[in-house]
Amino acid sequence: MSTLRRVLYAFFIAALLTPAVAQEGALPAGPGAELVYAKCQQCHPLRYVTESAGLPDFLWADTISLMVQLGMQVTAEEEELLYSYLTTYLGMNPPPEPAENDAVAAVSNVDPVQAYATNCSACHGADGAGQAGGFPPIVGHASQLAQADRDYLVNLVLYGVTGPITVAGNDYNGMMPGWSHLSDDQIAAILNHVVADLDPSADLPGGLTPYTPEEIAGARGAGLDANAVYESRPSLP
Amino acid sequence: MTEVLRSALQHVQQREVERRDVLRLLGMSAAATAGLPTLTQFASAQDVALASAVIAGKSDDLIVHNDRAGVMETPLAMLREHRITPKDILYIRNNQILEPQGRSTDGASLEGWTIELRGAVAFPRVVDATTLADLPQEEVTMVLQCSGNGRSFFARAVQTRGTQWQHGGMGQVTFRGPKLSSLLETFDPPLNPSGDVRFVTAEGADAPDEGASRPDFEHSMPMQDVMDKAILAIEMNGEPLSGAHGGPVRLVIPGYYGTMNVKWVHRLRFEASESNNVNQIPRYRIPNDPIEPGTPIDYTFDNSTPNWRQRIKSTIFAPLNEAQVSAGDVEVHGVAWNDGVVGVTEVQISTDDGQTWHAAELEAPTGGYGWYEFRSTVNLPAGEHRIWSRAVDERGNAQPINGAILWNPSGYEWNGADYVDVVAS
Repeated sequence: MSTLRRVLYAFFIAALLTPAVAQEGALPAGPGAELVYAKCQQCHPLRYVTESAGLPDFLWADTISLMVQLGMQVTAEEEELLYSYLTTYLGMNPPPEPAENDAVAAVSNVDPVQAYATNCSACHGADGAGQAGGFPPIVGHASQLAQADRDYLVNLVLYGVTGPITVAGNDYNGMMPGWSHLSDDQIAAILNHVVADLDPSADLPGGLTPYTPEEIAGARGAGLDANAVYESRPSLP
Repeated sequence: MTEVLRSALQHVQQREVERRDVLRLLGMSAAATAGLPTLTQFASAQDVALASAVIAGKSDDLIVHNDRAGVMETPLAMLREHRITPKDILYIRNNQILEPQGRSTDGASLEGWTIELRGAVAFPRVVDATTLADLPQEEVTMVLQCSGNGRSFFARAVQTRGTQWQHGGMGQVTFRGPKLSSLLETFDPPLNPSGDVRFVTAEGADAPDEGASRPDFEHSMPMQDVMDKAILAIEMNGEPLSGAHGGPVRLVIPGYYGTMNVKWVHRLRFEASESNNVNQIPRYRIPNDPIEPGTPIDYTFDNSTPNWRQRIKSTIFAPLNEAQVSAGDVEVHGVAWNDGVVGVTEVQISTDDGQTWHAAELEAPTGGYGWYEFRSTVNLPAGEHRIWSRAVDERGNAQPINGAILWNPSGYEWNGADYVDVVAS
């Protein structure tokens, strides 16, 4: 294929994606996209979802029930939302035009408790205690990291992390994907919530100043990956 | 060529071009897409861990599909470099992984490993795996292939569910170990499964994730094939079998799809019926009769067959897809194989979309379960060309020109005639 055709295809794909992509996410924006990010990446990379675009509706339904059998925890409402998102935006037909203020609605009025519950609790636990072997605790751990190197947590959320770690004598070897599809406001709110040990009324420990959306924005585009973030992990006492 | 075939080919062509470009864009490096910031961001959101971080000893040039339990594919450019696929580049497809040994290509120790035999046997036994090395050893060079290999090509008709394998969910390896039948013969009194045993069900020591309601992974195979062919492999490519590939002991049935070659085998059940485990039905099955692409099927034992014996298939190793070649004589090279029950008799080559075919030179493997290497020379004038390969065996089985006629919802057992697009100049 000629270079010209390649470039044309590149722009064709870009045109397909650009209006629908919120932040750096790989999924078209739409009701339920956040749930896909939160649930599906626990067990497999997001590419399993995006590369399956075009599945007939019955196969998306079948896939969701298969994943539930494999251990995906969802409520009946969430299951319905997943089905509606996947068949609408990654189904056999092209997705609808995104509504103009979709992205705006997503970034305003972030409720940190809700944002943590939606995006983080599946792996790190509703109470932030983590899961043995796979996912380290948040409570008592995130604040230590923030105090050792406040940028580390920002990069961790944006780019993910992979590699074995030990926290309070326990070994963990899960894999955290990047969450760069979340807005700067959402990430800042979540970070402030986790360094306060998930206590909305608590002050930030050790003289930490709150994470700001500007700080998150500044860390985007650094081009790190999960291995690089792992290499930069501060050693804790 | 009939109108129907022409239109099918056109459809295939069109879908393939779109798909290839999307895939290439996803795989493009940041530098290559510098002028396309949106795409760079898109690609960065797709990052997965390197192969060696998922399983120690694996080459980082592998395509990592799943970096959790480990699903990785060998690019054809690497696969074709070796007659026997080395362990650092051999594909991996795990549903579950046995920690910690599944995380390393180091040989796994037989010490302390046991295999339980039960079901319709004289009485249940537990075999100490170290004794397997003392039995007569059988060596087989064979194609190991994921039953999902080539699944992405079904999307030329309708997308199917699962890992979007291209060509590299396969390799050729040499397994060594005692035949299962030899083990059974060593017992006194002999442990002869009674006459109504029709299936052997194999279980690995790996287990589902915590919280999964799905039962543990297992597969059933027909008793006769297992008795005739199965070995309890303890070596691969002349070394102790690595944990990554199912060591210390893997049940290997030459000619069968990879999934049936159960890794980390620790229990074999001799039973009258096929297991009704979810991995035996409805997963890992194909319809007995073709279904309309995009339509569901409720699998029963009667209307479907497990991913047992491999369908006849060929893969072009050279030139690679999208290669630039010099106009004139171009050498075509690749491999073909089937389930090994009968021989592959011919690999046919076409450069005119199937209007005419000619036979390639074919070199048969020792033993019949390995790759048949084919070579042919085609004359290509300057311009764009599509080179097709199609294998035929002694029973007259041939690869379908349009592989989508065997469409099934989970995209198993793709064996459409292979092709590469090249530009001659």
